[in-house]
Amino acid sequence: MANEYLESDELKEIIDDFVLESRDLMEGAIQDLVTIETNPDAEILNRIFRGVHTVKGTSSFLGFSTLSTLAHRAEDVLGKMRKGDFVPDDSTTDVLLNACDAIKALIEDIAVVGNDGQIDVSEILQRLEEVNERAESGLSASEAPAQEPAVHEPVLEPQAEETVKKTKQKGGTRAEKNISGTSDEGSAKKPSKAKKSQGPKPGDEVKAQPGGVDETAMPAQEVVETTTAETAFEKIAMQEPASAQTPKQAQPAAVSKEEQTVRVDVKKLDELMNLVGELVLGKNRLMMVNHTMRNRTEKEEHRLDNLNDVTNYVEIITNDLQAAVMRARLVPVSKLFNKVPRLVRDLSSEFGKKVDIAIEGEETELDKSLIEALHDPLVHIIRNSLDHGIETPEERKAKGKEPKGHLSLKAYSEGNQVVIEIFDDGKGVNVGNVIKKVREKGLMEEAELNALSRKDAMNLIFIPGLSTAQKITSVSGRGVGMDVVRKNIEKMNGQVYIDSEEDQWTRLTIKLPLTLAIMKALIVQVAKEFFAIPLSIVVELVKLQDTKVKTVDKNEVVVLRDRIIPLVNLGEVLDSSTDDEQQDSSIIICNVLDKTIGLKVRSVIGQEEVVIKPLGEFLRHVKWVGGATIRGDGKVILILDITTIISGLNKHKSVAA
Amino acid sequence: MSRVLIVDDSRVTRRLLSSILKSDGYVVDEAENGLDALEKLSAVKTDLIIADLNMPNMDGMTFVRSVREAPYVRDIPIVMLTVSSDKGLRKEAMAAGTDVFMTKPINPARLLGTLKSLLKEKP
Repeated sequence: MANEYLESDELKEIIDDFVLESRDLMEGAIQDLVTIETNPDAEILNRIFRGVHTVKGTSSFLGFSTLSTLAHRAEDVLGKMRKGDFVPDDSTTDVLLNACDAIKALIEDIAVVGNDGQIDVSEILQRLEEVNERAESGLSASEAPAQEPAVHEPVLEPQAEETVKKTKQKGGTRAEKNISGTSDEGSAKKPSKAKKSQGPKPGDEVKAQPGGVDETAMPAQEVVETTTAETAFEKIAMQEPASAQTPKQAQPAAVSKEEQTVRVDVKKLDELMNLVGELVLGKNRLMMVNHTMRNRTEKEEHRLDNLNDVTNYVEIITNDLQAAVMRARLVPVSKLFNKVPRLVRDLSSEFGKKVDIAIEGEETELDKSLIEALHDPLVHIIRNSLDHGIETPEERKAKGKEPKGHLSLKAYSEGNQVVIEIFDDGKGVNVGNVIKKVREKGLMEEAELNALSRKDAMNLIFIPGLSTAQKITSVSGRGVGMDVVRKNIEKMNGQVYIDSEEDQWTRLTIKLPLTLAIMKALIVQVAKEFFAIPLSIVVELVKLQDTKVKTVDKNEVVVLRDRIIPLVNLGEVLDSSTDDEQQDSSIIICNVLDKTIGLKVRSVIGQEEVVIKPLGEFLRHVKWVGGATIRGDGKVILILDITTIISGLNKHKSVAA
Repeated sequence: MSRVLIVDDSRVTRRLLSSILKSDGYVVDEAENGLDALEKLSAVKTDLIIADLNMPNMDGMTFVRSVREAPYVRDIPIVMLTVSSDKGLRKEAMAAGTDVFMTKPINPARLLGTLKSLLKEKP
């Protein structure tokens, strides 16, 4: 219908936009449905209704009839909830959630194949219709003097047919009224209510005649209840947005904000980031050239003032540009966290547990690619928490805990890193069990096992091939869980570790860099070679001669302000032996995986912004190296992956011993 | 060249309407809710308004009343679009000052015809 008025390019763009908008709306609706299940809220319900309603309207306009029929049916149920005709129960929410899932699936189909005819939605339509009928019968029951719209009697099969009849009659009369009421629009109307009970007819919506009836009983008083015209106008005059009447998490449709927003393909941002990366390298070179020139011509320095100015200028601009591009790629973690309540809802019923969820810091921002890459690990961790962490209500009662378990997600920035904590008050990690499993499976030497601290032993849950779960469930318990989680997070230059108190709680901590492509690094010399170490993990630098290095149990340690810190000889680890007699001069104190450790290096060169270049496919098995970068003088140096160096350390030592 | 303000919270709907109107030579402004629209109205000279009924941050009905009570803009014709053909709602919308009440899905030809006749009526 709209097609003849639009160029095909334009139509395609609109459909793309439709996919984006509808996807957001449905994701919002799913979150909201989970929210109102525990905290009923008229405004949130209204928002869900509006979202589904918009999807219905736009999809029918674009001719996606399956989608609009499904949305229409879901909207009917929501409309009745909104009017207070009936109070939804668990199963209603289930049906609505499934309907939203189906709508999302249809939207994804439209995104990929361009139409919505691939999925059979008859079952979910049927279930929605059943809820609708139940709502209708609830309505008639509530006509009783008691003012209890909440009567939702279980639907009995024989009753259903009668209800359909009633519905038809009612619908018929209502539609007739509609005709008389709107006939001046000059269009014939179909009694849509009757049509509806005859089952879905894909296509009806699209072919709809001018002003085709679209029955959604919207009570008039609902719409007017907001501010009166006068007060609304006064408010604008006072430059005071009427936000008071919208709840805090109202849709990001802040007044007139959209106008300043442009949707950009992520690929374009990636390209921009790549170019900025190259520019940073160029800037580094320019700075180096400037530096050497000035050193060479110290006496006539003023001649190079211009070069110096330009270099400084380019440096400042490049830094700002880089920061700006990075900011453009940042997405709040709420994108990820918002999906959690639904996940927890589904998993709680799957595992028969009761779980409360708290989310904090969802406004913390992270690079878009990291948000995406974090999805699977997070889902896995939460599944684990619900499956193995939080106990059943009975078990919890027996332990004297609240029957309802508690899961909390927290995100915050820490320097150049973002930290995400997943906490549950379940049964915690049994360290003894972990060690036993490792021993049984022969994953580690006995001597090493005995030398481990409690915390280190706990973190063995991340080594491949270990699962402490008693029984295998659909997802967790196959021993491929936590090691995959760690691998995925380390791929993002992140870290993950666990802390726990048995029978009390478990906390998983994930630390991620703000962005993937560029980072601040410390350039160090190990033997004759240069390496880069991510600055985010560096705590402090210590001159070797100022400190006391001792040997404990064949391992070197350094005593720093009464703290004993184990030392790692990077030259030894990297096997960069030297013939010359030069000694290591510095220790870099790092904080990795919740541990403090010192790295012995020949010397510290300085701090640089480095652009991370992956090593490429055939070098991907190289241990201890996280990537490579190009320095200002054009030389390629390797970026050390300190996390794997530290975690692989015990093994390395036992080989060396 | 007539200038039309589209008020709808759905980006897709705004875009669709705007494409249709532009294809017929209209200049189009967009607002995503009533409040936003009132701001737009004070900034640009508008000949006609197409408003949705159900929107967050000031719905269509309140918006129409506000326009009708505001100086300078009170005579701008308003077309209200909604998916509901509820009689009471229609009556209320007309009472609030809506010129034409149309139900979605929109028929482009009919919409354009309606706009033309509304704009001609204007003194």
